[in-house]
Amino acid sequence: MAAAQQQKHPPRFSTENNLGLDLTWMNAVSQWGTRARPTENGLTLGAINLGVYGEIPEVYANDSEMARGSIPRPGAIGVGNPVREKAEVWTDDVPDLYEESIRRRWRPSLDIPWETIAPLSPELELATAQFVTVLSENALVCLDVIARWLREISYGFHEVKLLMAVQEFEAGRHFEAFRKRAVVNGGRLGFESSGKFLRLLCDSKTFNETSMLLHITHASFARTLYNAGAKFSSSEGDRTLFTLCAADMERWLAYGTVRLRGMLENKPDRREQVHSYLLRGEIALTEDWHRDTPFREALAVLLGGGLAGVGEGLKRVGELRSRQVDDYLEQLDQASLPERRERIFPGLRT
Amino acid sequence: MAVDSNTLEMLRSDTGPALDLSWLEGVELTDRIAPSKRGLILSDIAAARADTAPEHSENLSLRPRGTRQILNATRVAMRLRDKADTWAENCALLYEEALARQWSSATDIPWETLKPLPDDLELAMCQLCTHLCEVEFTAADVPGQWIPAISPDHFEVKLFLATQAMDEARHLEVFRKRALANGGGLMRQSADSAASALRSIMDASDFTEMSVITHVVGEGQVLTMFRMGEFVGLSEAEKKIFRLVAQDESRHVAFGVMHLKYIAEHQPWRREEIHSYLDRAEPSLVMHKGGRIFGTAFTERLEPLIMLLGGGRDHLNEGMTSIEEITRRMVNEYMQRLSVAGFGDRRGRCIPAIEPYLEPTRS
Repeated sequence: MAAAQQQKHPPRFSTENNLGLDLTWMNAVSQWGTRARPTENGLTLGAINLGVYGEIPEVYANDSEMARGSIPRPGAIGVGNPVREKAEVWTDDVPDLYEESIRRRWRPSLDIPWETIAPLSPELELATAQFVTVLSENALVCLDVIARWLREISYGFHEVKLLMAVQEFEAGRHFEAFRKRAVVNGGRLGFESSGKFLRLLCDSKTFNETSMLLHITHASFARTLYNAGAKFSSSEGDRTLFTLCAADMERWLAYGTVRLRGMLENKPDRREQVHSYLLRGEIALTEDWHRDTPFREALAVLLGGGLAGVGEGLKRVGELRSRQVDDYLEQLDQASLPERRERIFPGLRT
Repeated sequence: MAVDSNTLEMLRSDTGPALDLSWLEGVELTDRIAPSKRGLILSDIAAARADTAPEHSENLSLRPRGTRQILNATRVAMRLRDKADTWAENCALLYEEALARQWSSATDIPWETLKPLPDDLELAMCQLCTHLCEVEFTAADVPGQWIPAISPDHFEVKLFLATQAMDEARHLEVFRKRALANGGGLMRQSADSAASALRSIMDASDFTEMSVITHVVGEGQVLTMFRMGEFVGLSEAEKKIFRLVAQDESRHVAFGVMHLKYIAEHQPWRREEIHSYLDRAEPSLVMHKGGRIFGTAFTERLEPLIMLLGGGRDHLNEGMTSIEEITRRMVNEYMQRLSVAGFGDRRGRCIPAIEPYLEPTRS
């Protein structure tokens, strides 16, 4: 169990010395006697949030690089972190999600049993390559988008900055894992996505907008696809790849869902704005779906088990799309946005 | 082996749902790629498919290198489209190495080896950690700003910088954990953080400028310090923290050195510009002279280190002697890195403050 042992009177030292050193820092400690203890998962971020060090402010006024809980220097220069409200970024499980991401890290080069991927028929291999090409492109754009926000978030919420860093890293891992899968079995990279939704992500202007599009809309649609990929995979290698990526997406969703719920509780006036962002995302996803014929047809080949079953595959693609939408709405239910079911962009289901 | 074109034609003319299937046409399967002992790494893929990053990217959509273009894809503004803008020949290997060497501050540090310290040493360690909490994540924030501007044709650089963000995140939290794990606490915001000494990195308006100041000078400097962790750390936990952090920092420095080398070889006309960045950054390498610290800017960075190296409040003179040794190492390792990068001429034009620390070059 984590524990703080606080001593009322920190030690005092004379600053006199023959080297002209300042040494006044020796008498400047904010909460002396803090002794965090390792938990069953080691010494975690949550375990060190003790006393003043664990107080998460509603608004973090200090805009310098100062570590939360240390003693500020008057006149510190700001570094321009515009995201400084707890309600915008915080959830109580951020420290745990960060540590879980670290615990569950994996390496595409070694943790995917690539050697188990057996030769496939040309149409199945090329369909797989087309499918993962788009997933790979999506992941690289996610990396770009997350990277942009690292600096924007205040140092008062360092746990969120850390979580964003680990998600950036995970997005890179997904990108290279899917890219490797596209070519490892004799295939080649397929066609790009039309990119309407990706552009929307890139162009998002507030953390709230980005998080909804990234951690809910994208993560939900991607998780459903990864889970489907794990089901239709014919090899242990492919199943492992999709399963590991889906597990990462669960954490993104956990953050996005709880963050949105918390924000709506704290800022109920933002509800309509949230719907506006979601609508924009749904329209972009719909446009992509209709434009991305190679992606849709590749899925049909994969779900139909080959070209001979492509007709049946197309029906299953429709079912998969419905599942994506249902999962997305379920996620929004959990985020306390059940009315989205009535307001969803109708084209998204077709 | 390709998909039979007659089959595709038959499916298109079928009475069922309309199909295009042109994405399957004219594509042949090629050889499969077998993983090596190191697993399936990026350079295996690049070698097997003759997949190299272009010197200049004409790609204005979001598609990564090698992905086939569609005509209605959305166009975006990529600012960094020349390979030399961001490239380092080792970035793919550094990326894979970073994945191989990830560690967990929660479980890979033997926290149980922390023992109660005399108050002066605990205060010094906590002040050093407070300072490191402030500066470490800047090295994640700043490269992150550049990632979206890098062409997806040079994705290896994006991947490497993502690992750097991950590393710096771990550094922030491991130093915070240390400050809060042994009966101390966080201390005073450091003067150079308050004055935002790192603004020169944030304000860089060119990727190479940022990389020179961050990777070569800044991280090179802390790498030397962390390598002295055996002397700074007072427990196995602290020694291991410094060892693991140094291991991470060495990748960041290696990227910066090889990026600089790429510039030296491919854009030699930028040499004077690079020297101007070095002129600006070098003063941070020498924070003292004749046993005196320059002003108060480095108080919270240097004084705890002096106390830790000396062994306590009563051994500051010994600590100052050790700082001299660290500075000598810092300066010479810095100069060696510049020499590897093709900037050996820096020895003859470095700022005067570091000249006394320079050792003769080995022939």
